[in-house]
Amino acid sequence: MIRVLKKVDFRDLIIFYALLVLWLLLVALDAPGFRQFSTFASIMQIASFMGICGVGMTLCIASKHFDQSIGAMMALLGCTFVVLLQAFSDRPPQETVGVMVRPDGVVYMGIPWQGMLAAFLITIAMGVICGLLNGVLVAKLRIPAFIATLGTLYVFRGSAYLVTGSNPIVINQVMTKDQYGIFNYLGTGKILHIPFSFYVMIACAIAGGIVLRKMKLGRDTLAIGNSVEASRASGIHIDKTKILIFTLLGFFVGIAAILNTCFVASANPGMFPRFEFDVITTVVLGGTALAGGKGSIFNSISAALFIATLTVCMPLLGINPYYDGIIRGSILLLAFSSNEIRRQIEVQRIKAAARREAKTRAAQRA
Amino acid sequence: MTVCEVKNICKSFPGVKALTDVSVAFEKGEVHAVVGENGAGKSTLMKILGGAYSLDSGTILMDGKEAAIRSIPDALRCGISVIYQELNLMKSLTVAENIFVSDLPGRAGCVNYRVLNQRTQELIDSLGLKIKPSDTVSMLSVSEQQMVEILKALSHNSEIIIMDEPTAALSTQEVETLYGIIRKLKADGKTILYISHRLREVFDLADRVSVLRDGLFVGTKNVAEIDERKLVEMMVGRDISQMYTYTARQLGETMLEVEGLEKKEAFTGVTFSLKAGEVVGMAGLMGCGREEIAKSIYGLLRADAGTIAVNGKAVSIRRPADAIKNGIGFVTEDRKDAGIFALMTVRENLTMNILRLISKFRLISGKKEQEVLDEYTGRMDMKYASENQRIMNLSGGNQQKFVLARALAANCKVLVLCEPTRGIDVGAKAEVYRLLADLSRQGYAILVISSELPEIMSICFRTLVVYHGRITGNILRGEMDENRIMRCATGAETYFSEGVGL
Amino acid sequence: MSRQAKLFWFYWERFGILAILALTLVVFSIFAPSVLSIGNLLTVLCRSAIVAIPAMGMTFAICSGGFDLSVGSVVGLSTCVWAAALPTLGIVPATVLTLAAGALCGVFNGLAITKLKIATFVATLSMSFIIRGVALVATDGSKQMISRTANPEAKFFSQNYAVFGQQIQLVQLLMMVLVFLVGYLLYRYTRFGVYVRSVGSHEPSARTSGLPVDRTLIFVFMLTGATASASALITSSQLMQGAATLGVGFELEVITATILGGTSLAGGKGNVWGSLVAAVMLALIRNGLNLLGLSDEYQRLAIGLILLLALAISGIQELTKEARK
Repeated sequence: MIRVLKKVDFRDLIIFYALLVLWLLLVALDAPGFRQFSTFASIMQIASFMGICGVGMTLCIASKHFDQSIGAMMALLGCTFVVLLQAFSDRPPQETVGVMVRPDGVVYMGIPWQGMLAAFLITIAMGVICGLLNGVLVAKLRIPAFIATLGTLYVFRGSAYLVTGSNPIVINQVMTKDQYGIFNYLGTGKILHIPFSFYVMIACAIAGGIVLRKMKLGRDTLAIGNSVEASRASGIHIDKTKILIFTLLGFFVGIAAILNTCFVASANPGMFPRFEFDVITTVVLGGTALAGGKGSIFNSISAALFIATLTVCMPLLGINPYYDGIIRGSILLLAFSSNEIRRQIEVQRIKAAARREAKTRAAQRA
Repeated sequence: MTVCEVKNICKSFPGVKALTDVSVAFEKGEVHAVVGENGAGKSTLMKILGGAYSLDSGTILMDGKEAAIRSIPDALRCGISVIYQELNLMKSLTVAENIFVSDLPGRAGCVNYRVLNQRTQELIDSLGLKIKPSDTVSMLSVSEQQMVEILKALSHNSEIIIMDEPTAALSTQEVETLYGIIRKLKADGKTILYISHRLREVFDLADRVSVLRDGLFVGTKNVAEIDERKLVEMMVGRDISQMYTYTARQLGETMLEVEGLEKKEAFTGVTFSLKAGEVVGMAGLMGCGREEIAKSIYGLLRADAGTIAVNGKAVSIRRPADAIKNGIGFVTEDRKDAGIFALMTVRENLTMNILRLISKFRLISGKKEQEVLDEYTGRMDMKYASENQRIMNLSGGNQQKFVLARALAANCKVLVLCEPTRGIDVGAKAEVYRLLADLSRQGYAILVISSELPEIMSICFRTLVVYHGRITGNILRGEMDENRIMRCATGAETYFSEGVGL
Repeated sequence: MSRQAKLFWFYWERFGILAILALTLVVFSIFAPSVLSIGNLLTVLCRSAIVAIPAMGMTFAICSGGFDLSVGSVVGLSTCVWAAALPTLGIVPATVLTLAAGALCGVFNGLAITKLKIATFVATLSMSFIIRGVALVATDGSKQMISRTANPEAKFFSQNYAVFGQQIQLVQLLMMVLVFLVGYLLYRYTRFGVYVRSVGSHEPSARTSGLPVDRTLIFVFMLTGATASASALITSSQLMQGAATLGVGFELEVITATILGGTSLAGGKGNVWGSLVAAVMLALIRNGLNLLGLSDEYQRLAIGLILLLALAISGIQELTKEARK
């Protein structure tokens, strides 16, 4: 334990401290409802979607790339998932919920478990394929990630509209009560008062942490973020690594998309506008520099919790939700300027010391 | 007559005192060399004079009057211009735009391109160069870019011109051109402050030389009154005339054979071999193709034809991973950008090539990793605060040892080293030389690509010389002299020592 | 690379977007000939102004080595400012005020980048949250409607005029032409243009050459902000309202146009006319697909695919360069 603690550089955990301070502050201010567990549960719920994607994005940014297509990817995968459920559900009804007759007159409901499993797997596979596409564009065609993923953003978003025919789809129209129960549980269920999706996030974070810290892939990722030439000279397969990173991100987005779809019990091709920016700011707030070369999953998760806390608690404090953007933007500016401010203070300090020293030396000379 | 004088200058950076109480005076019409080890503060002093840094305390006197130099335009106004060590060109601009960017002709914010190009052409003609004002800089060769940089400094017509290692990227002919320019400027009464690591240039060019050590001023001497050994002593503060001497050692089996290696537009028909225990130098002018040869052996570039054999077995090297697998290690000339992983820890830097070997079930074993680090720390005497220290915080010499150790850890017995002592200070250089000697005694075969002839002459058993992509010399230690190497490097003759096969 | 290949890429970088535009025209002339009618083409040209005008500003931003992600938010804020100021101040002061507001947002962007030394990506992203937040708070989230009866002059920017017998939105067209003329002159013939290219090419060098880097960058982002506001004027005039929620994701469309136009993300090289052509092409694709009866989703897909196609072609260029190694 002590050996592990020794390895931790406590100066690198600023966002974690900020999270603790924020929570203490909310307790001290006695924000209405903050001490209730349900508030915490909703913080965790919100943080979990951001966190799961954040794990993949941390790897991505650590390698000096980023992916701005994941909002559209979330929408596409969510829609795909629901459409698949719909497709597999064309079975005679048993016990049913909601409207059971489709416009074409077919009476149906209920999905065989194979169908359900297939929907899960196909959605995740779609995520992997989307990520793979991004990875190939970036690694093999040498397109800068910023514009490559801008292009796929349009493609994914357009495809999301195509698969749903531009309409939102509600999940409970396609399954039995029992089946709906399962989905509801994935989305909103709790174990020990903690949302199921939060456990998933923790699992993803641990997996991501192992990849980043303990596996060759993680080292290669950081190496590429530091210097592509040095990585090449170290025998790292650069293209392969890049593709893997984007693919992994697609995988995580697939998981987040399924959980989110279950949470809101519907999918809408227009959902998650600019979600990628939320995730990127989360990761960057966690200290993973856009310039690449370093990254911490723990800090990304802390940052996700931090932002989720702000989102959930501002209404509790009676703050107009429209202030959300201003507060969030200001925190970001503050966080990113802190380095420069610290440097300036240091420079001033050194200058003052040097001036004092020069004075005493001049006095001695005199 | 004193044209510029600095008095009691101090400058600190977070964690470092770069200059302490430095005072030095520069005469009109002299070439004044400033020397010192890396980190001695010479670049800092020049950047203060050039306005890139502001000083913490002290005064700068120009013609006896106090001058307030707080920014680069201030310095230009006071008549000081600087040729910086790193190329400071805007690559997507034209030559003319680059040279006059801070002083563009034209009225009301507009640029008069006709006048601009005309002025540039005059400047280019005055030095007899073969570039056009409207060329885009990114299309020029590195040495042409260096000449543009020099033109840029000349364009200000300043009284004092500071040159920070201006010859680093120049070929011999261009160095001659530069010498000519400097002598002409001197004749015109300009003052040149000349910073260089190559002490020979100091003795070739300078009238006086000032030495800095650890941010302190050591002294100014007339070049005529001092010799190289004394100067080095002033620089490092101790006598290191016995810095390194070559000792004969037993050569073993042939470890690397390169035959007929060819790459279009870079080199052709390159054939040579390395034996165990041998340190072989590779000399040649900038752009002669020696870096390309080294990179092709390591798989960073792909050769068009030719074979490479390691320990008598032909191997196919298509990428660096193949080279490492076959026991060929490589150290780059560009340590900062292509050698170290700046933000990663020293331990991670060391084990980058061997992660598979120290992994179990695909998980990296921290214990094994630490063992590797401990082993090489002992073997190569690297200094660092903790195994989790970022490598960027180490000195250049220590960083270089880690880069070298990375290749050794991957069990590479053939080492291809490009400029192994570039940018590290005199003390660390000696350590690297000793290390290479130890390695060769242990049976490693080492190829050293270097543009510093004294380095090659002092550590190598044999020297290959490359001219225009061909090997024009293979010279044994006993027959090595600078003249002969330079003649081979300029294509004036070919020289192959008897009794050694390529 | 062979001489022919070099020449090809030289022209591709400069005129590739024209080739893509021509290709689009050919495709549409086969499948939807009505696209090619003069009236429709003029309409497309006018419509492209909304994206084209801020794309000019973005060209400078990208050429200076950054980009501006706050354009969408500036559009949202600017429509609110205009809609709120119009009834009380009259059209000219309101317009000036709106452009000033956009420029001010740009100044803040520039200050965050140069004085606080924040990377452009995060700086403009943070500012985009703040700017939209300010607009939301100021309007309390409600739309600011402009009354057609009280302020008929509000239609000025989207008024139809008859030209050659066609009803076109002339003011937008003229604005666009004016903005691009000024932009091109700025880029090509002024000190500022050289400075922008210098900063984008290699900022440390620009600093050691003694250029006013900070001032240049602040001015670049002012320009981007002001052009975003100009585009907001047109939007607002068309919709006869201002709303803080307008322009979400708009910056991506603008960046798409700029990049398609041939301005390199690496900085230092811009292509002002390319941005204009690309914006027109994007408008043409939307219009053509509309006429073909294909809805919004197909338009997005098409834009994405064309962007990827163009990128893939420049990717091939990179690969051929690498193959030489």
